[in-house]
Amino acid sequence: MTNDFNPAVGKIVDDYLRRLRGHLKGFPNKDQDELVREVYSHIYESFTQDSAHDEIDRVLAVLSRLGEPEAVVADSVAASMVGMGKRKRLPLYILGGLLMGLFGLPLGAGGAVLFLGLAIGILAFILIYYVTATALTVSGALGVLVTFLKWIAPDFALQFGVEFGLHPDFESLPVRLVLAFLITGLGLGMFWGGRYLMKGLKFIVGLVPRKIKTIWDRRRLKKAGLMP
Amino acid sequence: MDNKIKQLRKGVLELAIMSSLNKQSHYGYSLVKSLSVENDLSLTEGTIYPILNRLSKEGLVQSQWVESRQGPPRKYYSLTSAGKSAFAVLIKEFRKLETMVVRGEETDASAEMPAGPALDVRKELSDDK
Repeated sequence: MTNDFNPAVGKIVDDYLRRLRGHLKGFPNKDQDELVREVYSHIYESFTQDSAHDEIDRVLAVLSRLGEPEAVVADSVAASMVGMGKRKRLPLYILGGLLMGLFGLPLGAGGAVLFLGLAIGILAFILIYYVTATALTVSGALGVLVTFLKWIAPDFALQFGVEFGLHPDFESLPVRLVLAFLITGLGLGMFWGGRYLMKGLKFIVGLVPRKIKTIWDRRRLKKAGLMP
Repeated sequence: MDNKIKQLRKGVLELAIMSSLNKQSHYGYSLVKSLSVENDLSLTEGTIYPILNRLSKEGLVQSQWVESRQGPPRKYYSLTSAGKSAFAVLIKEFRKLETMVVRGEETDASAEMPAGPALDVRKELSDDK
């Protein structure tokens, strides 16, 4: 690309463009090439217009006027310009950074395992919760049923109870009935409360992405100069 | 202070670029020349590219590669019709701001009547909203 210059000057220009490309990592290749071509054209035009005699001095002056590669790329812009590629990846970088900061783990196998562990933990919790709720509801309902049977048809219940090894106790039936209802109610209540549990879990699980989004939005606004 | 100057320039530079492109199309280097020939602004030339890219993402500016008689091709920029109407609005706004700043400065200079004109400026500010 740099054959418009003599070798020594070409080398300096090459080096500058390489540094520029270094700042464009993560952007789509097409956008990288376009900007590098454009900056190259700028250097060429500026170089041919400069009057300094020594070509090395000239190219150095050209590059100094152009500014550091950061200036060419940086600004709100970098984002909007070559956009998406980097924008999508950044939260991942932040997440990686957070993980490293919190646990000293690089977001590699370690980070993945950690995430897997957390996810399994949460899933297991949800599972246990609903299993408990189901167990309470079913046993409570059975208790209600059996107590009713004992009340209404003691003979049948006795037969039934003996067959299934239940203690044929007929005393304090109302108390048992109330207890059975309470247990059923507790199970059903747990199901009902599950909605809030899920909401709460969603909130907690969503904390990290939401925090990242806030940080990211703030950065973007700051870069765009919309926020101090 | 440097940071304040930078902030101020960034905003104005975008408008200056649009103003220049409103007159004629430019490639990067000629745009820099058009911006810095008439005034003494020492411009870090590379800063125009992020702005040009943003403007083109916003659809206010269009670009086209054109072969040069000598050397590598040049990427020419021009305002789109959306860019032209946006510029018309922005330059109007800029003139208002300019008036506001100049008037503020005059007020500052004449210590005799500090309250009156300063209130005017404030009124103009709230009118804009």
